Amino acid sequence: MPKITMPKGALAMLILRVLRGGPLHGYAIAQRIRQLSDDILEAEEGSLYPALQRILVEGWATAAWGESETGRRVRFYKLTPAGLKQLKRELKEYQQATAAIQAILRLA
Amino acid sequence: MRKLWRRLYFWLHRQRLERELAEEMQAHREMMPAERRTNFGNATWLREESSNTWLWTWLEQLIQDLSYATRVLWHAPGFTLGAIAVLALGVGVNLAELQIFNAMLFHRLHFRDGASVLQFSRVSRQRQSMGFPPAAVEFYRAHSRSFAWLIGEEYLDAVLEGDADVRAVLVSGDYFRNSGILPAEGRLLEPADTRPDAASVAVLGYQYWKAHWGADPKVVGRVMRLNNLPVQIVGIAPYDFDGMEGRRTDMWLPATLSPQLVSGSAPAQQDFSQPRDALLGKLKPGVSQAAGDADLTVLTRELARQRRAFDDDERVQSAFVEATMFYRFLPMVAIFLIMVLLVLLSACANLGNMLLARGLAREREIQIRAAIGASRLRVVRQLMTENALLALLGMAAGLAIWTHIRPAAAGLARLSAEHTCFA
Repeated sequence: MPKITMPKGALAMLILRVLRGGPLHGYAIAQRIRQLSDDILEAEEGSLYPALQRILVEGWATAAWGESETGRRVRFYKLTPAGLKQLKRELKEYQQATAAIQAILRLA
Repeated sequence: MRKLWRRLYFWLHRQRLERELAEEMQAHREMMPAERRTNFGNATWLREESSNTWLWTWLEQLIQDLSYATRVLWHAPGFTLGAIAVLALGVGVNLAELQIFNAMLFHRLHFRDGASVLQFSRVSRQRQSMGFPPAAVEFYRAHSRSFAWLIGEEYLDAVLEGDADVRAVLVSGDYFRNSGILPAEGRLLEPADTRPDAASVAVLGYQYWKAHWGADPKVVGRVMRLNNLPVQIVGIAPYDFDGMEGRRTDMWLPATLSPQLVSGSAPAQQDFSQPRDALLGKLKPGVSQAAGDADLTVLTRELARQRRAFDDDERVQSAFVEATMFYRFLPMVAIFLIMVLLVLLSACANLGNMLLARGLAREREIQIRAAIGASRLRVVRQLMTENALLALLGMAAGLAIWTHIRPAAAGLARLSAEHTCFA
């Protein structure tokens, strides 16, 4: 199967979407994303971390150290209200874009 | 703003954060099933990519570029000194030129409050004019409340003992008192000179005194015949005084001489016939320009009711003499700016040649940088940083040169102010 290159902000959007369900640590985020999308993290699961750092800098999520289910020291990421707002905005923009593309495809 | 603080926080704590990130990523890899572990990606690269989001990459790169540029310039002292010298000369010479020009053109109002002198004009539906009848000027002077002083100036092309085209200005008695200047020789005009029984006196302009009277101090007290009227010279104005409008003036006379110098004109108090006076004034402290204009407009309405010398809808408007002077000198300013640009341009062309020659010599270095992964943008930025550093150094040297030739330039400016007259 040819690899679909995802748009640049897609990973950040997926992370925000996954975090909407509640705080998660990095590995759990990766697992949830792989359930949602087979491709995006297939090649480089670690690319999650640059995206997470960007989310922290933007203030869309906060991070706190805690203990995982298996007793490891891990960092839990929690969505902030600003992050929720950003997610809603991105989803809306995405829907508008797809609606526009679909309208064009119907005409074609 | 909050984002900026967050960024600063991340940047300041970057070492701890980097450690934490490394730990977190390590934990992640260990949690991954063994067969998928290779899918994590290049951990080092990912860590670097992550920390790039915290710090201002461009800032770090700028510091890097600057230190590299310093080293490069340090190792090519011949080129660096040459380039700095070219720039410094361009900048320094231009600064001195600007100073002379500035003194010659823009600082011609050498008298007290020169910058706050207003010139008035009349505006109605039919016309716009800078001329006021002498009697109206007297009326304003007597009745307006908004001004520290108001004076009238009447330009007159007079004939002096066969020498035509002498630019005389008839002024109100308090003209020189309000300008607060000191005479070069003798005395200046005083309010007493406008009394009906006062003797006919004149103050000569410095340039005129120099050109036509050989700068002889003994001319003070002499009687000359101006438009056939005997007038005594009582003093010489200072060299840098060009009147309140900054125009060449050969001599100043009291306004009361007008009927005797111009045949057929009435005494100033009654003369509404010809609008030939310029009206200048300075506002009292705390009075706005609009209030001053309104004050004179009300008085003008009053005059319009009494006489027919003004239109019914006439308003009085003011503008700063210093500001309008700029437009008067605009053609000269344009020529001067072109001159300045040419000097700068030749400096730039020289420098450009030097840089070009150097660029050819550095081809190899740049190729190596590109080969080890520097993007085109990054290389260009590096070179730009180098040039900016060079420009900065050149500018500093230019300022140093200027401070050294500054006294000479000031002297030259004074000299040219004494010898040249524009407008």
